[in-house]
Parts: sequence; structure tokens; C-alpha cells
Amino acid sequence: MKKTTATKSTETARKGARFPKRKYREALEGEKPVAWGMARLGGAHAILKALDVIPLYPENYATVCAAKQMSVPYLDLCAGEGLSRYLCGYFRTDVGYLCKYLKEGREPEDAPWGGMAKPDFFLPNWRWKLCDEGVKFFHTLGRYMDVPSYCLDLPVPPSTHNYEEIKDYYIQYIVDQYKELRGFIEKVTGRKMDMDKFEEAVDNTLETNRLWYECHELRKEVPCPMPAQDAWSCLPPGYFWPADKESVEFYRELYEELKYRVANKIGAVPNERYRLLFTEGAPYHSLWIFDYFYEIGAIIVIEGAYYAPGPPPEIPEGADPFYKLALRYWADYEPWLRKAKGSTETWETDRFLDWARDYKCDGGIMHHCLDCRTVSVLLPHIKNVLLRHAYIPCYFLEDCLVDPRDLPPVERIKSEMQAFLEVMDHHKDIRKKKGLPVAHP
Amino acid sequence: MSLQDRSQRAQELRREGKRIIGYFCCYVPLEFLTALDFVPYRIWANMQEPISEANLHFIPTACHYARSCFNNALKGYYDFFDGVVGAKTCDTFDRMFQVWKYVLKPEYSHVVHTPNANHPSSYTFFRSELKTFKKSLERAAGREISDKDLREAIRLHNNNRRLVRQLYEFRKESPPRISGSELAHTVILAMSLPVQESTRMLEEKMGELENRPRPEPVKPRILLWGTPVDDISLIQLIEECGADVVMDDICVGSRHYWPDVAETDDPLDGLVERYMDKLVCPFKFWDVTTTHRQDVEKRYSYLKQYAKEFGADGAIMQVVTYCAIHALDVPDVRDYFHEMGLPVLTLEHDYNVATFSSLRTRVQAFIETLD
Repeated sequence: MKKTTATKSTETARKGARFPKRKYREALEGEKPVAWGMARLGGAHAILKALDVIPLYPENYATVCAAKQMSVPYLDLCAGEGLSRYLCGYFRTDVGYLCKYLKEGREPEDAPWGGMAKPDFFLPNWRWKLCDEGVKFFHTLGRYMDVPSYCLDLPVPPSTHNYEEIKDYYIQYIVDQYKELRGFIEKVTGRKMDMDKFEEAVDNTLETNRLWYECHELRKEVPCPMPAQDAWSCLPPGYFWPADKESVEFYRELYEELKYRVANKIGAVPNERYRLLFTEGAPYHSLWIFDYFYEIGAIIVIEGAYYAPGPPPEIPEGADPFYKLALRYWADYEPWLRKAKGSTETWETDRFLDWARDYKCDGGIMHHCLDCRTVSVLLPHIKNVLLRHAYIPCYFLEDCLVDPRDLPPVERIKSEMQAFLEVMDHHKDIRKKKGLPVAHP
Repeated sequence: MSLQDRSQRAQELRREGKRIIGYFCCYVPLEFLTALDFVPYRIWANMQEPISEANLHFIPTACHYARSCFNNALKGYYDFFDGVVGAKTCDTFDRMFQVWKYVLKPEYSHVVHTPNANHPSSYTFFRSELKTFKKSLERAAGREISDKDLREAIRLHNNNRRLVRQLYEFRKESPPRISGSELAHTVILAMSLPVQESTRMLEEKMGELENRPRPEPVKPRILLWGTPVDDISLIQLIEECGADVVMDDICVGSRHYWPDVAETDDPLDGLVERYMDKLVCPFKFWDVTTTHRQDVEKRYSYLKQYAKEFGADGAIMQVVTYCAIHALDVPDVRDYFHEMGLPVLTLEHDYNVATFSSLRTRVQAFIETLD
């Protein structure tokens, strides 16, 4: 049988997939209300946790379908619905799933993990105004699942603004929406929020994010203790269910494992030679291609999409829990929001520049997803900026998020990567001459 | 004046000392620019030239329209700008603006963060955002905007919009005295002039139309829906295939000109209301509190009114490739037109006349079915 997943390096990563599987199964039991939302849920997980609502993620479910080689039949079903092929691969997978769901009148028998339980409401959110489809898709979903929705409209200040002048009213907008969301869910579910439970869920969210952030900090070490393949497996607890106590425990275990590896100089790649950054969405249908990176001594040390949280925010004593949540959400981007103005003008690009330096990268893999503009639109610009400011070259891999039919021939990828190693060596010499950080001189 | 020469007047004005501000999107509140005597100039794409330089900065699978706008800028077509203003409404335009700022370093730039949602908190946020925009422009102009200035600018823009709506009235006639392409040409030029000059041009056009005889013969009447079209070639193509484009639902057209700003005691009240509630664009997400069917009715009932008032026989839905916001609404809008009893043709295009030949065949076939 053909291998479809990537080889994991850490012990904890092997447990990563069990977490979402449990959640999807629990939702199918039908004892708790279910919400369908976009990844990261606008940082509002603790509100749902306190109201005993299980959030599920069509976006995440599509990656599961891709990894289980189930996306193609769903994509084909979607093609008959009048939606363009260039639209988000995740959402087209979900529309195909829903076509089958409606035809069979229940979760399809062959659906991975038993399927996605029917939602009681939708929570579209515009993740940092980066994904048009993350919101608009829920209009489309309404054609198949007629449920109410609340759109979390999360603002990100443009680099034209004076950050200090506007940050208070931007954060307040997030706080206000969290409170409105609580009212919306209470109305839809008929439940009342338990404030003690909410405080606990907020604390869990803060701790999950802190630990997850610390795990990524350890990836700056040489050799790197964890590759992208593991980071992607480890993201679901923090990305989708950070308000759960189990998520805190998961990252504590991961942190301890990585700390041990760092202390004992155990790298994820036996002979680490090249450190790479990766942007953006992962090719979930063919993660096995990254096993090839081990053979050439290359490791992805930081990745753009599904990035780890930013540093823990400073939270004022006695702060309102809604405000704490908003500060946590804001902290993911704040370091770059502050500096983008007058720099590269986009927090996304500034973030990659910082990472290239801090993680001592030699090159970048630009994953141009044909079915995702959100994560791909800026790639040529990011490539230009990395080369111009940090002397980091990039390799473009044109592919798709979920459709294995778009993957270029593997032999071609391998031969292009071989050539790219030489390009990285050349730029390594340039960086050495300029006194810039080089992990493996 | 041809559309290729549309920047002529703006360049003359600049030589006379006026400051020209390019803007994207009908969600930019132009009233603030006019109040400070800046000349707002709509940033155009280019249907006549292929995208070249912009592909060095954006992937080829990003919106053709946005890339084409940036391509014009990189080619120096907008070198006469003193600044640029955008509205944060769609993903690609937002990113394009950031890259524009990094690569071209305009003297002045600002993005108005427009909420996608219409929660009670969204209005408070947007009000703050308008104040930030005002302050930013005041810094650039070196003077403050008084409420009186702003009220006067609102009045000027309302008057301008009223005249465009009156021009559209001529399209209700059968056959219309003004063709779709001529009207589009007029509106596009109007967006390239200071509001006072634009109004004078519209008044002249009105006078001319009142005395113009009606053409012959009666043709099928089309309602055009979709992504921005700031060139008349696509409309001409439909006309050449034997139909009249009598109404549109696009942002270089009725979406820009239909709603006025209410003249309120505090001018910000009227501006918040127009830009939050009255403008229509698929980027907005109104929370669904009832059913999907009722949600569609709420979002698109104005199309029913357009179809009835302008006597549409069919609808052409055109979407520039890679515009996800519009493409995702295609099934709902298509079904809505069908429920009205209107035949529908859906076109996806690359915003380039060189690729129009295949569209022509499809449009011809569609119009034959309406005869």
C-alpha cells in the first residue's frame, strides 16, 4: 500500500491526530450542541467551552479527508454544484461531503472518522482579514445546512495606521464581538454561560498558547528538535480546542520532549544541513513527500500557515476574561503589526523576515496552492523580500491543498530540490560574508 | 474623451496645484477627500493590456482585476498620484495595497478598515475608523475638516449620484436612448474627475439625451451582474451580439451611485449608515438569523426591483477569474434570478479582451434564446 503520511520524529506528534478524532466522535454522540467554524475560531474557543458547545472545523475536516485520500470523490461531487474549481479546496471538499450527506440523509458511511456532526450554528470568521472564503463559504454552506450564524469580524490594522493611536479601539471591537457572540450562542442553544467555567477555559487557552509558543521557540535550536511534519500533527489541540485541559497537557508533554531533545542535541534530522521555512498551507494529500527532506539533510524549522501563537501577552491584573481572550488573540500578530509600517508594509512579510533570522534559515519552500489565494497571493512578494533583505532564496512548489491530482511528479520535485540545495549553498556564502547568522557554516 | 485618456484632466489639475488621490473600491468615503479639496481618482484595471510586471509580485492565480490595477501602477500610469486610499474589503486588494506601498512608496496612503459584519459593535468600530481616516487626511492636507466642509462635500456627492441615477432612468425606455456602453463610458469618466466637474459633465449629458431620438429596433434587455468592469469592451460585446445592457449590479456602476448619504446633524452618522448599511457588495456577511432563503432575499431583493423597473429579459453574471467573493455567490444569485423567471448566463473571464472570443460565442447563443 502506498504511504500517504509523513514519518513523525517526536513521540508526542504521534498522539496529535487522536485529539481531533475524539472531538469529531464526541460531536456525533449528539449530546452537546455543535458549531462549525473557521480555524482558530477568532480566539473565541473559551466562550464555546463555557457553554458546552463543541466546535468542529470544515477546513480541518477537509485536511483529514485529504490525508485519508478521500478528497477526490468529494471534489468531484462539488464540481456539479456550479462552484469554480479555483475556489478553496477545503471548502469544495466540504461541499462534496455535504452533497453526499444530503443524498444519504446522514453522515456518509465511508466518511473519515464517521463524518462531521450536523451543526446547530455557524461561526464564520475572517481570520485577520486574510481569507475571503473563510466567511463567504458559510453563505454557500447555508444552501446545505440551514442554520443561524454569527460572523466574527476580526480586524487587523493596516500598516497605514499609527498603531498606538488605534490599538485600543481595535481590541475593543474584538471584546465587544466576543460578548455579542456569547449572547448569540445563549439564544441559539438556550444555555447560560457558567462564568467559573469560562474563567477556567480562558486560563487554559492562555496556558495552551504559552506552552505551544515555547515549543516553537525550542525549534530555533540547532539541530532543530521538531520538523514541520510533526508541528502540523501537533497543531489541532492548540489551533482548534485550546480551551480544553487536555490541550494544556498535550503541549506540556511536547515541551518536555523537545526540551530533552535540545538538551541532548537530538535533531529531528540525523545530519541536519539545511534549515527551511515553509509557506503556506501544507499538501495534506501527500505529506509523505517530506520524508525525502530527511534524505538530503533538510528540515522545515518554521511554517507560515497554522503558525504557532505569538508571545504571551501582558495581561493587566484583574482583567475581564473577555478582554484577556482578546489580548491573547491580538498577541499572535502584535510584534509584526507594530513594525510593519515603514518596513515591508505587511505584517506577514515582516514575520517571515524575523523568522528567517531567528530560526537561522537557509531557504524557503513557497507552497503555491492553486486552490488557495489566501495563503499564496503574496508568495512572490515574500520571496522578493526574503532575498533582498535576508539573502534567503526560495523554491516554488506549485500544488494544491487537498487534491493529489495537482501534485507535480515526485522525480521532478526531487531534481528541483537538488538544484535548490546548490542555490542555498551559494546564498549561505553570501550571508557568511555579510556576517548574517548561518546555522551550518 | 476616450477612456485611455481619462487621466488627462487629473494631470492638468495636478499641474495647476491640485493633489490627486487614487482610490480603490466604492467603500472609500470620497466625501472626506472632497472636503479637503483633494481630487479622488478611481484606480482602473486594464482590459486592453496583458498583465506583466505585476506577476513579479503576485501569483498568477490571484484576481486578474487587482493585478491589472497594480500592473498599471508599475507601468507608471499612475505616476501623477499624490497618494492612494483603499478600503479593506477583499483579500487580494488588501494585499495589493500593502505591496503597492512597499514598492511604489506613495507620498500619502491610507486604508479604511471596513467591517465585513454588521453587528452593533461594527458600527462603533467603523465610526472610529472614519475618524482615523479623517485625521490622517487632515495631517496630509495640513488643515482640519470642519463639519460644514464635510456637509458640503456630502451634498456635492449626493447631487452627483442623483444625476447618474437620472441617466440610468433613460435605460428604462424601450429601446433606451442611451446604450449600456455609452452610459458606462460616461460613468467611468465621471469617476476620474473632481465631483463638481463630474456633475457638470453629467448635466451636459442629460441635456443632450433629452433631445436625442429613440433608436430602433427593440432588443433583448440584459441585467449585468458581477465583478468590477471599468472598460466598455465587455458591454460592447454583449451589444454587438444583439442585446441592450439596461441595468447593472457592479461597483463601477449602480453599486457606487445608488445610495446617498443622509444629511444628518452629525455628518458622520450619515456616512456610517451609507458605508455600513446601504452599499451592496458580496464581501459583506450579514448574520443569518432566519433561514438561508430569507438571507438570500435580504441580500439580493434589490435585484428583483432592478429587473422589474428596467424590464430585464435575462441576466448575465460575469465574474473575473479568481474573485472568490463573487464566485461563491454565483449559485445563490443564479437561483434567485431563475426564481424571478430570468434566464441566466454565467461567464468567467480573465479581464482581457484578447480572451473574449470564446465569450462572444456563448453570449450570442444566450441572446438568441431570449429573442
